[in-house]
Amino acid sequence: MDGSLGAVAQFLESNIGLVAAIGKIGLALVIALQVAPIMVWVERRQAAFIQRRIGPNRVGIFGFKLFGLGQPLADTIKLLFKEDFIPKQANKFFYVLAPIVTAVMGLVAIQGIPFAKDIVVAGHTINMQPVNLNAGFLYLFAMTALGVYGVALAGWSSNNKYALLGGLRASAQMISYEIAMGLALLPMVFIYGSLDLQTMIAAQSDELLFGFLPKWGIFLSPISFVIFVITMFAETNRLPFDLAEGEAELVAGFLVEYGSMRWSLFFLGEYAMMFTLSALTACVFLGGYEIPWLPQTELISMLTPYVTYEPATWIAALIGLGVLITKVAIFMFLFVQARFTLPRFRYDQLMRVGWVYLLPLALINVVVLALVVGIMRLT
Amino acid sequence: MAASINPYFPILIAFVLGLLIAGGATIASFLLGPKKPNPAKLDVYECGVPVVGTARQRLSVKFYLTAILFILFDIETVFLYLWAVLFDELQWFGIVEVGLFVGTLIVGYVYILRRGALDWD
Amino acid sequence: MDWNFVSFVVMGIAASILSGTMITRRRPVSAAMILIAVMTLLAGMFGLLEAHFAAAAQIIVYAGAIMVVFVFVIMLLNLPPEELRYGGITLGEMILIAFGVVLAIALGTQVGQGLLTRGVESMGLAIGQTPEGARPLYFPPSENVKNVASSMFVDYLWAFELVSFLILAAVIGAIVIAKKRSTPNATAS
Repeated sequence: MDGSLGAVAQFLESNIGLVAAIGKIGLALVIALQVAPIMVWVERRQAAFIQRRIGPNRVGIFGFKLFGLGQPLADTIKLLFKEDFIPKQANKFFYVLAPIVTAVMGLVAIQGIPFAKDIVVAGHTINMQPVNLNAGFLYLFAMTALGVYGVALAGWSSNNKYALLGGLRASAQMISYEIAMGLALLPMVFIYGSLDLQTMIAAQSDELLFGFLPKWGIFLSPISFVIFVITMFAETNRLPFDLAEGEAELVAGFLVEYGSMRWSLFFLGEYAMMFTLSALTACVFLGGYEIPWLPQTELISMLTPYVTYEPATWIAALIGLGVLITKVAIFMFLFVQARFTLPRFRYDQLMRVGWVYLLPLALINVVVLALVVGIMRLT
Repeated sequence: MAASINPYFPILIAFVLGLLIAGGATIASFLLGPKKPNPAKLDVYECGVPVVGTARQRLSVKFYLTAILFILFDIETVFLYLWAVLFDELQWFGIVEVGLFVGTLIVGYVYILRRGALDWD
Repeated sequence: MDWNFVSFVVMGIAASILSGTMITRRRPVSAAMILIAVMTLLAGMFGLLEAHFAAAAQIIVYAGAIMVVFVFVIMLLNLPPEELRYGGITLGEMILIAFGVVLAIALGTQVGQGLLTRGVESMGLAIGQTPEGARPLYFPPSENVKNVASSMFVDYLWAFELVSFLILAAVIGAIVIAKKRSTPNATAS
């Protein structure tokens, strides 16, 4: 018993890179898979409160109603047991592939988010970011760029003219706002000097702005924040930009021929993408997993009188994860609030905002910030 | 650090796991759902009325134009990211050079606006 | 077991096979999707060669923008498969295939590659001047994005500025093509 445990421990330690990678990916996937059910509940309850009613509160487990938290579970089971059909005019292969593409892209994109500061396990420092490339957060852009195909394929493969129109419109909307998204994050790259998200988060908590504000991106570049949040709504096809999937517009847009699990796979992908983009906003503009006036190093030194160094890093990482999820929750709340408050944009208004208002604003923002930072740093 | 793996490997693992999850959900639904095919259920959905026309019709060229303009501005963004990582090393030289780059592109953008290529309807 | 090498070989073989499959598809959308898969495999191969920026840019620009244009055009034209020509191979196509095979052999062997690099060097288009006062820009190989950027601004500055004019020309060209025909028959948008 002792010998086999020791052998397992030694195997784990010699392959610590691989084990850590699988662990981090597992953590990210678990989080991503929980987002959709929780958001379904949040949307329905928050919508209800906005509309002065109560929302689902009947479904319970063993008599515990839990404010209707059993509702997503009931919905999932219902969707799983619904009839799984393929319309006779649909292109079978792409019809099945489209929701899988959307869901996979959402689940893969979330891997680029740093969940906590480095933890130390058995002397090895592990970076709590499942995918940490030299290209930094360009990985996230790449995955959102590929996510466009899920929507386009869904619309085309349904072989339904409303679905096709909805799919093409949604794809055109997503690509139009991707430019503004990229340009909005550009100033943050030269302000913090790196494409790496962990470096950006560290730079946001190392000193204070004007002596009392944390050096967050939102204070250094508020216009970037505003532009990025607007493009975030457009990228995920959420109101006020959800013309392509809104009810009562083109029926359900590109989703019209989809039912049961395929439909819920689309929403899994959409909610995962919402989570990923909100987490990216939190990391770049709101300091990520760092508590506002308490950098992780101070937190660890506060903990070390009670536990040794390594468990202190683990506890700090857990706290960091909680902080990140809190910040993401603010944006998810904002998503739902916007959905039930604002009217929907018409399609030409939507494209106009993306190309004629946001793109030049983002470009001017880049130029102005380049000049300001240049003057501040280089003179 | 003892075995440090190639940074692209986690992407592969994530892809495979994501495919398993999404594929598993599809297969589970296929296995668990009832199967009662009915021609009306499988027909094209058009709010319950009989279908008019086919889906294979020509669509507007504005989608093409949007996509082409997207490529061009995407390439510009990628070049600007290359500049942004070296902002401190290149100092004012970089700012001026990139200013020329962006200036030419702004000329193109103004042309797009004046020509009305981005007006949808 | 050098996993990097094995992955590279597997990706290379997969990309070649998929490219061959792509050109024999009847349905254009299938061909476009296979091409996207090939581009992703190419990006993976770039990553294994430690060209991290090229890998990211390949997906963002090629698979994420250029292929979107392909897919949009295919979906816009909306041609039912009956209208796409298929049939026997013509003599012209056979000559082209033979030419392609010869080219592949030439590029894949030392002889062809030697000719290619000599040709590129003799073009000499991309030489720029290192500006006064700029520090020499060399970063460790793991900082690939900074290395590419420094190379672009130091060695290839002319090319960088010319790219902006190329993009301008492409913008004007695209608008001229798309706006030329103001067709009277209504099209759905």
